[in-house]
Amino acid sequence: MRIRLNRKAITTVQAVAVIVIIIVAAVAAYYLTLPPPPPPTKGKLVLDLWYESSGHYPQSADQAVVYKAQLERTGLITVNLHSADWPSYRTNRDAELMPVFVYGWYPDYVDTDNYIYPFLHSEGAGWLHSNYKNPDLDKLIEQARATADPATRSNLYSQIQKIMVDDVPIVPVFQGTAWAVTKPDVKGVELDITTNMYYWLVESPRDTLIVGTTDSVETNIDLAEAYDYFGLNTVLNLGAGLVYIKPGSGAGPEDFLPGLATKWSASADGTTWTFDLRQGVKFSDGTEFDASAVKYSFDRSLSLYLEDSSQAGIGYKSIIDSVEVTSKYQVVFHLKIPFSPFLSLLAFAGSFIVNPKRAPMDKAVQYVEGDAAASNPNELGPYVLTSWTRKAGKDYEMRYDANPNYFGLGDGYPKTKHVIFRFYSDATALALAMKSGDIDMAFRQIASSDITNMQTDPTLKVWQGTGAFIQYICFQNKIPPFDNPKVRRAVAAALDRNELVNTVFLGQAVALYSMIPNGMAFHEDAYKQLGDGNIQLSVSLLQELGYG
Amino acid sequence: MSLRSYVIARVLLTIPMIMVLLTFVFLVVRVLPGDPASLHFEKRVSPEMLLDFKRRLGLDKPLIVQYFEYLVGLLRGDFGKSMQDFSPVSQQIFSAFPATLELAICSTIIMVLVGVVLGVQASRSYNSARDHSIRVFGIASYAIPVFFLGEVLIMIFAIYIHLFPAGDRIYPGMAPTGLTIGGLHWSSGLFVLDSILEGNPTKLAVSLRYLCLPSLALGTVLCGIFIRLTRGNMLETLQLDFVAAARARGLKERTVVYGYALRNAFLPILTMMGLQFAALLAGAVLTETTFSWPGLGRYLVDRISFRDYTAIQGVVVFFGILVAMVSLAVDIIYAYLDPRIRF
Amino acid sequence: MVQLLPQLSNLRQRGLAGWAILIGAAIVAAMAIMTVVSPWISPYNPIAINVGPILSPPSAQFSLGTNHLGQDMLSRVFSGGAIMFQVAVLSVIVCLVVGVPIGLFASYLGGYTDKVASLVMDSIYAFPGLVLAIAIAAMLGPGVVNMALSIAVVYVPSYFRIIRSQVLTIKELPYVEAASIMGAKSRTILFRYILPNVIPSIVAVATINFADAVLTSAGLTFVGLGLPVSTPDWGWDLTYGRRLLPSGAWWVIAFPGLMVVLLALGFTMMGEGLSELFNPRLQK
Repeated sequence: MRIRLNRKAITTVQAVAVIVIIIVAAVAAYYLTLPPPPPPTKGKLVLDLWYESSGHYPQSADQAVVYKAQLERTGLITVNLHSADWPSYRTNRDAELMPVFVYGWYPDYVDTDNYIYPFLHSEGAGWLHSNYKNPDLDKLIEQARATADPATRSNLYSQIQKIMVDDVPIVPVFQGTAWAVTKPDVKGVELDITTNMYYWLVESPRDTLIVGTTDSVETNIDLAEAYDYFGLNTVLNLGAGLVYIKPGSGAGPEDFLPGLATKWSASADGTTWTFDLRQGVKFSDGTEFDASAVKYSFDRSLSLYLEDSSQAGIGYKSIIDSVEVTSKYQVVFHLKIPFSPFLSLLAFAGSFIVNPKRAPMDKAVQYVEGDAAASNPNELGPYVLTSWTRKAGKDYEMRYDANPNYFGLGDGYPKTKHVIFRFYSDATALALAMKSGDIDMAFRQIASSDITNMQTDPTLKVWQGTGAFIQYICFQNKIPPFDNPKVRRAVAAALDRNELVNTVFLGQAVALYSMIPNGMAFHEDAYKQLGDGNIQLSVSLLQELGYG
Repeated sequence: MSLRSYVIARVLLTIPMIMVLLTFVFLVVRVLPGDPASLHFEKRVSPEMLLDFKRRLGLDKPLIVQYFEYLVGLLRGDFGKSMQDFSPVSQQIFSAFPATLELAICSTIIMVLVGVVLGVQASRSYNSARDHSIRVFGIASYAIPVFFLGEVLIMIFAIYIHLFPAGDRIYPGMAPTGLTIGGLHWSSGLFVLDSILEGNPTKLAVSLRYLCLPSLALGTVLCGIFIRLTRGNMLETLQLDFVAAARARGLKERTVVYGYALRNAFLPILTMMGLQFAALLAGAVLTETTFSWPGLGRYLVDRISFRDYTAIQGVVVFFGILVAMVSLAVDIIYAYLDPRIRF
Repeated sequence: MVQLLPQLSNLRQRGLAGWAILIGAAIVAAMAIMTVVSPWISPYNPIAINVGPILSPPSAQFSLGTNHLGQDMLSRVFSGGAIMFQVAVLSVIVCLVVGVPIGLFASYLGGYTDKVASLVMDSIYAFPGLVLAIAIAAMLGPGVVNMALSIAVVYVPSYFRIIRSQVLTIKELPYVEAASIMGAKSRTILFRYILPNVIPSIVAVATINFADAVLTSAGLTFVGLGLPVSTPDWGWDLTYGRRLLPSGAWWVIAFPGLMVVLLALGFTMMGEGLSELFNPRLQK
């Protein structure tokens, strides 16, 4: 039996016919709008460039578009862009799946070694999985981190950077600039190479400094575990270390200030460091600070290391052998290897001192709802954490008040007695709050376009400083053709850092020609050798290799 | 079938539904590339440390064991601990939920109000230009992506004209604290309610201002279906005898329409509200991201980028239970009010 | 025999629905054609950077302005629909291929199969679709096929429900029962009687599916699960344009947004018109 068509349904049929036509058209559109078959790659270098798409690095997608355009200007390279969100990106990195990828770096401790060892040393670069191994270079790097003599180090790093440009296992692209915005009457904002924000130096005519930020503590503020910027910076302001890097300095060998240690010396072979401690400093419960607290803190970090401390990544365990209490106010560190940047390591927030009564030896201190004191094992610093609430895994409210027991009180620190943090969900909201005067200071994430606007705004003061963040392009040196240094050199030569910085960051980042950032000791503009947007060199290298 | 057995039957049916959802999500997140343990280590991690951390997160046990442990925990009301900062997921969910709830309530009010009023207007001028334009509006509003509408509203009302704020739920320091009697303290988490309880009109005004644009965006996008429903219902009802009788008796047209005819539409509208609830939650996710509204939707999106399995599962189960409860409530009210309908 | 294709007594009624279908179809067709001819009508390469000054408002040279990378917005508007069309068409195809057979067989066979299938489908249907799509898209990673799959998973239950309600009605009809008594095989009944009458509803759902796919793919991109950036895509411009609003650059988000709205609108009008045609709500 068939379905009889009814006369009155003729228009229905017409409608259906129209539908069918549309569907056919849509399918046709689909086929015709399929991306054109990739341009013939015969004779061209096919480069799969990966970038991370969840905002972990600034404007990654924009960077990728620009890199692609620049590399394709050679006419001999075809770039395919791939993206993954941060967790997948990390997995890909460890699985060594990405032939060429964009990556970034924040230093652990402020020393040239921390920009060389993790990238160019075969063991040090294990985390990056870039598979670059050069035993000669390894020796040079190990020597450079063992000696404290600036002249020797300078020589060594010069050689290291030359080899770096010859082999090109990695290509530095830019160095981020640090930005802060404040009301015009705020003073004392230091944006230096350490990227630390020393709130105790900031002066405001108002009693309380209201700081807006998009950051949030990621895990906790136990110095043995915290690894994110905000967590560590919170430790920096609440806790105290043996030494500090002079704010505003280049973190050179002369730039260390006494903190909880008043004097220090190193043995000739660089493996024994002795520290005389400050006396009369008290914890919040009245106990006196002494060498046993230092030993406790480091023993704890080293033992937690095995369990789940992210500080392990910095290699404490491979550097520090043991901590010895030689007298009530003197402590000696025995190192496994001669490590000249040891002072920088101690100035890092992860090396600060905990209150032994507050920090159990066998586990990290987590956030406790409603109890700021219980959530914070760091003491002795310029501030005390009086309140901290989190909602749905993000910081909601945080408040510092001046520490009545602080050893720097006599010198007038902290300059501002109260600090309140307000947390905004993104850079746009933060910029708007700053513009409308809701906050006294906005720090860290502000979009380039907003910064440009704010610089011409008389009601705001924009602070600029050297950033320590670097962004680079890394090769997976195991995957051909990127196992060939000539190919890598050709790619590196075609990149135009200035165009990238001007297009994507409106000139607010700095072109970087070495893995050692600008402003750091022993930096040389090594990659300038290859030029910027040096299409000529790139093309000739590629042609030599048989492309084109 | 009595009301009680109907309710029991429905509740029993909900359980397998949630199980299906939970199982599905449980498997999906564990297939996700990217591993919550390694995300704790910013740079370097040795295999032993990674394994140890996995153990701490409970990820080293076989899948089945993890599954059952999670189920047992759920039955006790324990949603597990976040894999990112180890605080209880239930605590995080309950601190994020009031924001979404407030947004949902306000959007529903706008959605139903706008939908019903326009629907009535359309039905009263059947087949006129007004009718057609309202119907077109109903369809068109659905076609607008809610985040685009949100951005347009922000552009016009927050940036060009500084009438409303551009995002966030309230500016820090202005959050209402709720009811305080003696030393006792209670807040619902709904800022409008809390500011009334606190007796603070400034905070009430501020809360409402922040609530305006997001609920307007979400409410507008979903009102189309209410327009159509009301219109259709009214067109039918307005022809019925009792309406003619009321008119004949001399009652004002407005009383006839809103007092008598609309009552008929009440039940379908209520049902539709229940049906739209899932769509409301989905729309809330996008709205929250657009307006930086700190609710569950944004929480979920954040957690996915951390591969925080327990949190993601927790939100999905929570949403599932929520949707089930709402549709059950709607069905019960329906069954109660209309004895013809039973299981 | 029972009239299966619905009769519409009110001509005007049908007229409006017909108009809706035609206008919707026209919009969709126009946009499809625009996307197809975009390589020929775009004044600039949509992904070439710095063809113009960064972030310049609409002007004589760049009628829709440029974005933050100096790309021409007009060219991007012309070619940005390709991804959405692909995702929408692919998701509909997957839904048809997966949803229709499941719906037909489960509801025809009844019993245990039907109950299990209904349970699974209802669970997915009742749940906020976007949330599920986000989870699946995050799992699968970026890409046209993956986005289409996540959308398809969320939409299959809709097809299932419509088909099921239709099949259950048709199954009970006297002439179908008669056919089975007369010894017609299940397969015959399914394909010669049931399927042809279910098709109109499928078509209606499919067009709404197109609209939803467009909106959901924009939503997924917005949440960060979109495609690598080398292909011009309205969803991408919508997401990016957002950051540029506070500095006043409204044109980056406005025009692609309008396009998405138009495309979704076109499909929705078609879908609504069709539903009206096949399932008239008003017997006036």
